[in-house]
Formats: sequence, structure tokens, C-alpha cells
Amino acid sequence: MTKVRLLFFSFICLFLIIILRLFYIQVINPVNTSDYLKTKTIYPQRGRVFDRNMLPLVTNQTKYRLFMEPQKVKNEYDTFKTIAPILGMEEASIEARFDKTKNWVSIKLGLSKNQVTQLELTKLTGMGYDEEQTRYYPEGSASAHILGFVGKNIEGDSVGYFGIEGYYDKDLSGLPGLIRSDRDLLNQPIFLGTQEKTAPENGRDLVLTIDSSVQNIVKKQLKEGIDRYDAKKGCVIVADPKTMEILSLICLPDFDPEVYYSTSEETFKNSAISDLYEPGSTFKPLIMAAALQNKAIKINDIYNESGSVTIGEYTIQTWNNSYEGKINMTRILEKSSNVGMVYIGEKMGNKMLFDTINKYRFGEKTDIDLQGEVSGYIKPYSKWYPIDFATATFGQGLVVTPIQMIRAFASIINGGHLMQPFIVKQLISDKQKIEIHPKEIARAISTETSELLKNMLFSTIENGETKRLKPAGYSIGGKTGTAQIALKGYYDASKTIASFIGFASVRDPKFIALVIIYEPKTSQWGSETAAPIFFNIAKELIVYYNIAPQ
Amino acid sequence: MKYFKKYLFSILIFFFFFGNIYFIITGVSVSKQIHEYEVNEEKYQEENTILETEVSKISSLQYASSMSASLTIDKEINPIYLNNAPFALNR
Repeated sequence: MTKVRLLFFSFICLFLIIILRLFYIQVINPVNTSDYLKTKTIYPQRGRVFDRNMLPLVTNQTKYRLFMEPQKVKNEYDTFKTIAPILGMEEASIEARFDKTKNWVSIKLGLSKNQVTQLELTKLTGMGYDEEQTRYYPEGSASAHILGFVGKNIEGDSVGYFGIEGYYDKDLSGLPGLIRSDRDLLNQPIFLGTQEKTAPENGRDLVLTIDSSVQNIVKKQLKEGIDRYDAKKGCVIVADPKTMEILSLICLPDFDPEVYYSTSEETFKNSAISDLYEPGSTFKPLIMAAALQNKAIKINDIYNESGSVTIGEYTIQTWNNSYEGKINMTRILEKSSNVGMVYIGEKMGNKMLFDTINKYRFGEKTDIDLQGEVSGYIKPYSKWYPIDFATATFGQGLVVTPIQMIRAFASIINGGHLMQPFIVKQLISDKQKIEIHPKEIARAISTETSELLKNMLFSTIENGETKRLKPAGYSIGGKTGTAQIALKGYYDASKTIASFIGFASVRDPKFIALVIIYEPKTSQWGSETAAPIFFNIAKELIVYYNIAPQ
Repeated sequence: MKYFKKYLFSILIFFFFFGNIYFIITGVSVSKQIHEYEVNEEKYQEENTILETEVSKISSLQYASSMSASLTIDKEINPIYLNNAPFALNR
């Protein structure tokens, strides 16, 4: 019994020592519990982006940074020699970055997993790797201006800039998760300690209205066109005229979103939504539609095109200074008669003309879901001079964005519906799928007027300057435009913006496309630069969309 | 009952002692498992990202066009637009 008591007291003493020690550790001299409690942020996966056929346009990839700790590198020259071929760098370049006075030096960013594995196999000392999630673009720069890119903000966090990366940054980013865990010296969790985990919420995947095949067709044709006509830059927008789903949007020159930092900032701007230009003659059908809609003219009215027109101190001529005498309204569009349009403007009256421009919502953002859209500017009615009303009828003296222009033009061929253009049709998360539907903003003209305009634009192609370019047997409508560039209050005759806007088929338009070529040098006319590019694109789209000849 | 009371203290000591050891060993073992799962989760996520990148690369149109170029099957086939059909339509 004495032995048992002895054992009992031994245990009591042992427990007492433990209790006193715990009291000392926890109360008298408390240890900082944060030494054990580790908090780690779990970064969510940024949402992926797909085209309308679920082809990936943007996914995520893991890249690595190779760093060195110079003090721990044993034989530096052997190390450089061994790793140089794996990194694809010259030994001298590695040596230049290797600074013995520092504890840590970055050698190369953007290494693949394969490269890291090869480096690890060398078993060299003093090397380490940092992991980083970056974006991967399977189609390269094909949709650069639509997608934008992911860069860093001042705090070093990943942020989307431009395009949909900028517009949908919050949706794509997701929400980070958190782990709070008590860890031992081996960094293993202490089971009986704090163990909390809040799972991250990955970013939403986006499904675009863009069709990668159409993007490739358009990019190829636009690039060839810019080279052929020695132009400064160019833009093409292809859309479904009924819904204003953007099928393709290409502006050149563009950039590689994966290495966006290697290009000039100027190329990041999406000219299709951020640049203003004078639309020139492509504006005429919009005025014609409004005049017919408001019964200011009738389709069979006759205008006597006898010569130039004088407004105050200004003289307005036709583009080639030739006049045909008595012509009907369709012929005004066919021959792109500026004086004919001034006649229509006079028939409408200044107020109706001004209201027409506002009805197409020029001077307002289209609210397309891309970052960087500008609204442009239409000056108030009180500040318009008589010459402004005259030139506005043929698209000069006012500025629009390409996206505003194609939206307005689509409204006169789709039955009169002014639609909101959009790029994203679905947002998909783990919990829900959000569909984005076409949205009508206003009714521009009636269905009957729209039918009249479609036929007039068909006739413009059949009998106008561009009839030689049209594929035989197919019904295509459209209008050319050439606008001089205003510099310091004057027009520079040598610099023009050539454009063409067209659609197919006339009976049931499957696509509408706007081609804009900035400062072409081989010819200043839209009919000789933008129009051939449009018809080359249209020929391929006719096959792609299986549009039957009519 | 008397016998039970007599050895109660020893039994309790026995259970507390070995119970503690059991809990510590189990805790260490579970901690190791958690750690393993964490490492594996990171590894699978990384592998998944690499595979996803590979799949998207292979399914891209850029890859298809580079493959067709390397296999010399990149010649364009332009459609022939018929100005005058050489046969009558069956109407």
C-alpha cells in the first residue's frame, strides 16, 4: 500500500510540476500564441474566358521565378554554365544579375514547370523558385483588345485592365479564402489546436459572343488590308444586327496580352470604343432613314442635282464634282451625293435633323461591356451653325465612335430596333449561371422604313462604286465613307479615314460589319480601301454562315 | 464493489495515462495526414492547371493552323461563285 501511495504522490508531484509550468507559460510569462497560429490566404482561381463555341480564350497557368541566394551558391561559374541552356539565357546575362553583395537575387521570371524540374535535377545549391498564377491566351493576340490583360496595382495585387478583364474584374477575381491553423515546428498542423478554413470562391467564367473563327478571318483580312493600303491602323467590328451581339472586334496594331508590358501603352486603347472619328458618307443612310420615317421625303421624290450648293461662305460639292441632273432618293445614296443629302436635310428642317442624331444616341455611351468606352460629344442645338446642319447630313462636322456607328446602322436594317451592343453572354460560377439577353434601347424607325432602307442599300452596292467587288449571286447591302481628318480646325486633304459598313444577306441579315482604315496612303477613298477588305471578309463569312445566293 | 473501489484510482490512472498517449499519437498521425492532403491538394491543383493549359493550347485555332501549316495542308480553298449556273433549276 505504501508503494501505491508513493506512486500516487509521484504522479501528483508530476502533474503539479506540469500545472505550475503551464501556469508560468500561460499566465506569468505568456508565450505569443501567434508563433504557432499561422494564417494563410488561399487565392481563388481567376475566371476563365470562352468564345461562343466554348473555345478557351483565356485560362490560368502557373509560372515560376528562379531566384538565387548568392551566399549559398558554391561554384558560381559552373552553376551559370549548367543553368544557362535550361533558362535559354547567356551565361553573361545570368552573371550580370548575380550580385554577391545581396542575399537574394531574381534571375528569371516566367519559367515553366518543365524548366523547374530540369533545374531541380541539377541539384545545385543556392537556388529557389517562387510560384505565380498568370493568364494564358491559347489564341495569342487574336482578341487582345476585347480581353485586355491582367497586371498589378500599387499593392502588387493582380488587377484586370482594359477590355473585359477590366470591365468584369470583380466577377473574374473571385473571393480569397483563409486558413488559420496552429502549426508545430515542422509546419504540421497541431490537431488539438485552432484549425479553421474558409474556402475561396473562384472567379466566374465568362462566355463571350465572340466567335474565334470569325476573329481569325477578320484579323487576317484586316492585316493584309493595312499592309496593302499602307494604312496607319484599322478596325473591324462584326455583329449580329438583330441582337448586337459582337461576333468579332479587331483593331490593329494590337498587343500580346501575356507580355503586354513589352508593347507601347498606346496600343492598349481599343479604337473601336475609345476613338472618335467623322463617319463621312456612311452616315447618309441614317439621315435618309429618318427623313423617310418622318415623311420629310418620299422614296420616289426627285431631286435636281444641278451643281454645288452654297451655305453662307461655304460651298458644298459632290465627291467628284459631277452632277447628274434629276435623280431619285435611292440614286442619292448610290452616287453618295453630298448636295442631295443637303437637300434632304433642308426638307427635314434643323430641329428634326438634330433630333435624329440624338435618336440614334450619338454622344452617349452604348454601354458595351468593355472598359474604356467614350461617349463622344454632340454640341447643344443652340451652338449649331447652318453649315453644321448641312455637313451633318453627309457625316462631317460631328464625331462618333465606331461602336456607336455600327449600332445605329444595325438599327436601320433590323426593323428599327436600336440595341445595346454586348460581348459577354453568360457568367458561370459554381452556384449559378447568369444569361445576358439582348436589350432594346429605343425604336429608331419602323419596320417598313427599315425594309425600304435595306433595298436602297442593296441598290447602292449593285449600282455604286463598289459593284465590281461584290461576289456574284449574293445580296449584300452597304455604304462607303471617306472623311478627312480635322487638325487644328482645318481638314487635312491628304489624311482620311476610309470606312465601309455592310451586311448580308439583304432579306435576312446574318451579320453587319464596319471596316475603318486610318490614313491609307495608296488611295484616300473608302471604296478603294475599306470596301475591298469588307468584301473579302464577307466572302468568307458567307461560306462560314452558309448564306445562300439570292 | 469493494474490490472495484480499491482499484478505482489505479484504473483511472491507467486510462488517463494511456488515453493521453493514444490522443497524442492519434493527433500526430491525423496532423501528418492533414499535411499530406494539403501537399497533395497543391500538387493536384498545379497538375490540373498544367493539363488545362495543355488542353486549351491543343484545342486552339492557332495550334490547328500551325499543325496544318506543318503538314502542308494550309492551302486555302476559295469557293467558286456561280455567275451562270450550267444547269437549269428544277422548278
